[in-house]
Amino acid sequence: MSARRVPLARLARPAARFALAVALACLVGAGLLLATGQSPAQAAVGIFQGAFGSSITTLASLALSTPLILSALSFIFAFRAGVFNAGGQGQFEMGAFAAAWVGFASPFAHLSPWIHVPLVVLGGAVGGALWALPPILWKVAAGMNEILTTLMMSYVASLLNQYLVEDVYRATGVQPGANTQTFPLAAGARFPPLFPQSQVTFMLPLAIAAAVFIAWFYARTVTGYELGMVGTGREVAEGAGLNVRRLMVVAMLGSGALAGMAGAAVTGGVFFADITPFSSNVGFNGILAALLAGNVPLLAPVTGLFFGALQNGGLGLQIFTPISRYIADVLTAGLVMFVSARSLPGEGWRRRPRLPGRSRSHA
Amino acid sequence: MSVTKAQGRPGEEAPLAGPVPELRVEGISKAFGPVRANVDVSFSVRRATIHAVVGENGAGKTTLMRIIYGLYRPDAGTLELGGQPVVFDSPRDALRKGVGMVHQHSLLVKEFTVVDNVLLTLSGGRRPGRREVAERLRRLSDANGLHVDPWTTVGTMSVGARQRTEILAALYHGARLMILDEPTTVLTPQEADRLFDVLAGLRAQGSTLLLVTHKLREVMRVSDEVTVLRRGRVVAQVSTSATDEQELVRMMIGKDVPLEVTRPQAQTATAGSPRLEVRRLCVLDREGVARVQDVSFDVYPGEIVAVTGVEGNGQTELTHALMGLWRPSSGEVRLEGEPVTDWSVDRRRRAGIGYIPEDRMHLGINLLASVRDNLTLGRHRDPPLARRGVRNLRAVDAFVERALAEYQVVAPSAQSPADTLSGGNLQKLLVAREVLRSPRLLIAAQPTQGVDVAAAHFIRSTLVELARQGTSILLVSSDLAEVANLADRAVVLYNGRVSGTLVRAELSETAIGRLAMGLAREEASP
Repeated sequence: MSARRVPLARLARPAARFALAVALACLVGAGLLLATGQSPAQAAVGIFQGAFGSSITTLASLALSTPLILSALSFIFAFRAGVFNAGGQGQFEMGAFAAAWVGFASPFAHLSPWIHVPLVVLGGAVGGALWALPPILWKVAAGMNEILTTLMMSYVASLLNQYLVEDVYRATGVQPGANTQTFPLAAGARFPPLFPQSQVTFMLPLAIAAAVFIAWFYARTVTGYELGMVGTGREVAEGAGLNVRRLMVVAMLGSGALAGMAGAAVTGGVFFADITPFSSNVGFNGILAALLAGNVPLLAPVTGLFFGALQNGGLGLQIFTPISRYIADVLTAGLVMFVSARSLPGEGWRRRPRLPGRSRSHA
Repeated sequence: MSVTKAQGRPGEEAPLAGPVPELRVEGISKAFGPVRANVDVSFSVRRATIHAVVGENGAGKTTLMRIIYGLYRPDAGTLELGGQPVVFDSPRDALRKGVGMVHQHSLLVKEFTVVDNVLLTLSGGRRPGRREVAERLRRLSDANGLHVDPWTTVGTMSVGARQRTEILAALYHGARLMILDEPTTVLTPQEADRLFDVLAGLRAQGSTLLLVTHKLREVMRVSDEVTVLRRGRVVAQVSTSATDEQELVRMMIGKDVPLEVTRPQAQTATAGSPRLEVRRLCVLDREGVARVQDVSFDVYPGEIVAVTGVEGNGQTELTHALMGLWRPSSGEVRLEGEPVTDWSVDRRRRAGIGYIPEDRMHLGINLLASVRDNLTLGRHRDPPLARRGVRNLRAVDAFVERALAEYQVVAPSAQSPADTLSGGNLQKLLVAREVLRSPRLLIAAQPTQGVDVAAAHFIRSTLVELARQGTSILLVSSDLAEVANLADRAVVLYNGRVSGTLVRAELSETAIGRLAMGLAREEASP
């Protein structure tokens, strides 16, 4: 019988699919550009320069990827347990607010940064988890589809965030034309940059560590095993006596916490306040990054970084070339399509075909 | 048996057989991706014979039948009907050309009458009126002893009657060749007898019948010739009178496997107190219909008690209630004196109740999870497989390796997903998982259904050995031969009630069959 599986071998398949999907999406993008009389080569150069052209842009790509990685992990954590958390965006925003509040609220005012900063992160996690709680409770109590409820909660979150930022905690003395924001974070609450003049903070290594932890969690712990069994065979888990409801709640809370931490990363490391409107679609893009990673936690940092670079690159495209930055969105859409495909060219029939009809005594 | 002389006994030279075979299958091959379901299959079926096709699960019987009745196109090979090469575009096309199929689970529309069901199958254009159809159906039914009233609603008919209706519908379309797929799995012995009478009658009228089955006893009783499939190929085509069950088994799986399990001295002394007591249990289904009514029985340590009857008479609901998956509406269940009626599944399992569910694909085995993860389910929290919430993967691997070897489970590797296992191996996996937990009471629901002969024998032997070691076993099974072989006592259900209980000395398929149909037991034991 086989020994313990090699982790690398298990990554190979989703990684290969990702690479293939990227290649195909690039083909589609290139085709589109050629059809409109533009140069794919120019676009490629522009994107690359925008993403990694200089140390400034590279750091910006890294900074952009941090919340994306956490957001992707958020989706993966729930998905592996069979819970489809489509509300990462709302949990992200509520986490951002909660983190900001811990940052500027008076009870926390004069704490040492060593305490305040972790509290901000914790605040983000709690905010995100709390926002994820109602949908999962509705699901276990009444069977409500969590895709719908989490999605709806995101809309509510957006408006709630707007209200909190513009009415309740609005900062005064803000320059006209800038985003409306809450009171700024206390000095001791702001995340110190890892590299001078960048927005890359300790949240990036933390995000990567979270990816490793989640991979370990699912593979090596009892709860992780149970969550995985619920994810792949809910009825079997019930028949075996697992407390499926409790497990689904755990999955969703963990997921919300991770999304909230993404919000904390943005609040504490980029804006030093909660702002509105949140123009980034971190929550939804995180889901895309998760899909690209084949829902494998260890690949989330890779796809998160890829995504961040792509977004940054898109901006660069706008600056350096006449090509519209929306080509980056086309690439993203292509990626999602190809990754979601059940089989790509070159993949044979992996599974035994299922013959229709009952499974009993059929040859 | 009540086959009348006039219609010809099985094995006798069919009076209307001629030189040209009704069906000739030549070089048929069919593959689904890497799975080669049929490989170069060739055999011929003489007219006016009952021809059995046997083989294990996975041998290719169903695929072959689906090709013959037009659902699949073969990748290679030809079919000849009455000497003429034919190609079928669809089952409807096949029917028009004379090939009809009687399915294992009826495809008739339950809300319609027989007449309307047949009308459904007639193409547009010049359609005959209902009265005309009904008349023709009645004539055919009378001529063939089918006893089907064309105006009855299908939903009110018994399973046996529905089957005969499908035969009737095929006859209506002029089918000369009829394929019957595992027709007796849903019938009691008495109903099966009746079906065989009908088949003999059809044969006497010149119809050719292809009988797909895994019940070798029936093959010996009813068929004229047998074709044996193994792993997609034809292994033998023999005249039934020239072979026997043991030889058929040998041809089907390539080696000898005993047909029955030797049962040590049956547990007749119900000493001490019962391990399981079921008292007046009532279970309602989702729509509030009573599925189990007033059922009571006991199971003593070391006993194998069978709950049997035709499938669908409350066995499934009873097992679900006993396991805690469904709450009974009234009644009590006691495990060694302690009331467990309201206990959760988890609590029951921890108290030592093991469960091999009937629906192994959805309740028993997680098909997407690995073999390893499936085997450890239920013991994954406890030492030595885990300590303080962290799993010990080395211990898990060691445990899994031992279990797979001990239970002879064939799997590509412990890491492969469970759905790569064959049905027999999946079932052995399930059995291994449950038995290795040394349960005090094991509820085994349909444990050998759809399982190949060798694995079925292994599972039955395992159950017998487990009982010998003192475990109480509740065997829920509709395989009457299995029940007669293994059980110390049999509780027969009919419409959710206990129709009767038989002790070992009274156990026979016929006796069970009577109770399964709700008839009173015969006074003289068979």
